[in-house]
Amino acid sequence: MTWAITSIGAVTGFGVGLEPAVAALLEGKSAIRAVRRFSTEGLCSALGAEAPEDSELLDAAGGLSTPPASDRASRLLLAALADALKGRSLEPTRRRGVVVGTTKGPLERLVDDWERGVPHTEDLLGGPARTLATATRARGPVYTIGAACASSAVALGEALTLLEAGLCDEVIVGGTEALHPFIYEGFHALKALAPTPAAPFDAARTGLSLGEGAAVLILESLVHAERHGRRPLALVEGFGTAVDGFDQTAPDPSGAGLFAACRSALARAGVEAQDIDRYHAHGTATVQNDRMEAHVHALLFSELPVPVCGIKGALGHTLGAAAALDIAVCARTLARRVLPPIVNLRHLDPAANVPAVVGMGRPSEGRLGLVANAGFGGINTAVVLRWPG
Amino acid sequence: MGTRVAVTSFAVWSSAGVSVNSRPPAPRGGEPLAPWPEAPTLSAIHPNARRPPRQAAVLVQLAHALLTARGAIQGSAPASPEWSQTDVLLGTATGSEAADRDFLKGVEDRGSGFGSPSTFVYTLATAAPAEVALALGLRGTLATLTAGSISGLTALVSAANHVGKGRSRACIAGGVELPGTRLGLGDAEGELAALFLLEPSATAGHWPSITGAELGFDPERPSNLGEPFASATTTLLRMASACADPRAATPIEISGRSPEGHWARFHLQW
Repeated sequence: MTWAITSIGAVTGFGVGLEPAVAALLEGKSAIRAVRRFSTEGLCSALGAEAPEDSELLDAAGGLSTPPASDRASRLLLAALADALKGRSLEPTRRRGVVVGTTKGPLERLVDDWERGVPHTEDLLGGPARTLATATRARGPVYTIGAACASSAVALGEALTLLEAGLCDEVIVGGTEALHPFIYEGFHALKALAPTPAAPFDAARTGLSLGEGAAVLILESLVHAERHGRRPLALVEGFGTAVDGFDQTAPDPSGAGLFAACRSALARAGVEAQDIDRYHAHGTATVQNDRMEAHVHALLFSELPVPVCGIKGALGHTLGAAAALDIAVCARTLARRVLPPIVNLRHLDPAANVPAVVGMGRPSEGRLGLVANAGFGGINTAVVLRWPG
Repeated sequence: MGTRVAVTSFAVWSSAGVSVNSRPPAPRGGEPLAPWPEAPTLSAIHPNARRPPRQAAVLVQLAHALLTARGAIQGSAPASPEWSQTDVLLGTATGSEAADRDFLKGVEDRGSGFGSPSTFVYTLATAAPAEVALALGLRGTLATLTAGSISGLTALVSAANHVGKGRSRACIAGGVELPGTRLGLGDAEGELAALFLLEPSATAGHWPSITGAELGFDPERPSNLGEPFASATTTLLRMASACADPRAATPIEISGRSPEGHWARFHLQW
């Protein structure tokens, strides 16, 4: 069975919509700038890629018949959904599922409850998934996936399982993460935040920049899509996941877990590494991640200069939303026959010497992309995407 | 579902104690986990462990008991599978709440620039099951699943699909809710951790098989199953009790629904 992505939407630091983000990315622009929504005084960075204000998100989602979302992660998700749907109507059905990846979800509501000493009377973490389900009238499986910074890739893997098991005809996959002082203070505590904008794979990089955003992908079988007259935007040909078992935070320097996830995805797609035309890196701009990933690239592709792309220099690290945004950008740029650059990369780290796309977007005839993600807990994922032409 | 899937071992830890591959006693509502003095220490299971919070330690100890019990099954039962390819799918609605509150308190007490890095690591809901994977050498999929008070049952349905569709050789799935927050209607819940080991039944044969699993969401009419809301713990206890009852000749249905509208239905057959 072939699985197709038939709708994509996003919200990023470049605004509502996947298109503005891709356009800016191809021009080598970055949305990382001074954080405005909360104070970063006393922290090692003052930068982030903030998404639009709530009012703009609400306006964007205004056409959806759903109650107003009560938290920012849900508002981001609804605005991304509005971008994805663009007139596509959805009737209520038990055959539609929703799986959302996030690390902290509606954190501001959780923190507010704790600060007021009020016990939660509902499952707050699952709020964004239910918001998406209500807006799309999904009556099938609806749940939230936590898998650190690979959450929305694992959500996509869950969607594939639901489709393969015959429990759904289509699954709406979401990834969402809102910036909050809690997260910012946490990454400060880990000494992972850069005082300058993130520059993945750059010799002078100083760490990651946080971002916020959301992406929505609608998955269904190619047969189901064609029966309903929908053109596939990308085909999901393979998915793989593996835990490296090394540490709670640091990736295994050997890259064994990510390598295993990539091999698994390639095997499931029925392709070899040499068939891959581009590698979309997790590329957080931490020394540990970038060097591990460069090692995996060398192991996987041997001497082949498979181009390496990445979004975090432009969009920041959006944690639970990151993988869905990576997949969205890969799908859109495959269709536009162009490779997006790793923004802010100027001088490659000799110890992370990958054939990176630098500066501006550049043409590419390739149709097959490999999207890699990794997260705390040693979680690694890989997705093989094909542009159907 | 594809390949038939069996529950080959299970372990439950509640206020009434720990039970492994046997019917769990009824827990006392609103109470913490009972002491388990004979459990191997965390350092014995996982010598490289730092100082994980209680939830992670509980899960490591219980998962260790689960795999030990599976490994000890002898006779005509098939040998244990290769653990390195085992998934961990954990249902939780409360997630990392205890660690979240600890981190927040540290920031409040010491200032925003002085949060504890070691506590922050555990503010990811996945950190506790990741400790299980690190301790026991499990290298398959790792994730938490959240669907209100039926999060644990949802994780079991997902695990059944993973194994049934050949995505996993084995899967540890279940649920953990430790802060004792009130998530369902009715009595305040006690603490509970319940883990089940799912394997393809082609390599089993001595255990209950999962013959059907469904999930759904109905926020406007969450009573479509016609039964009361499930607490986060009752469905998992029902599941363990069903797995412990080899006399049952007909399929056993375990179902539950949450006040938010999530529902799940699971069929077991001995």
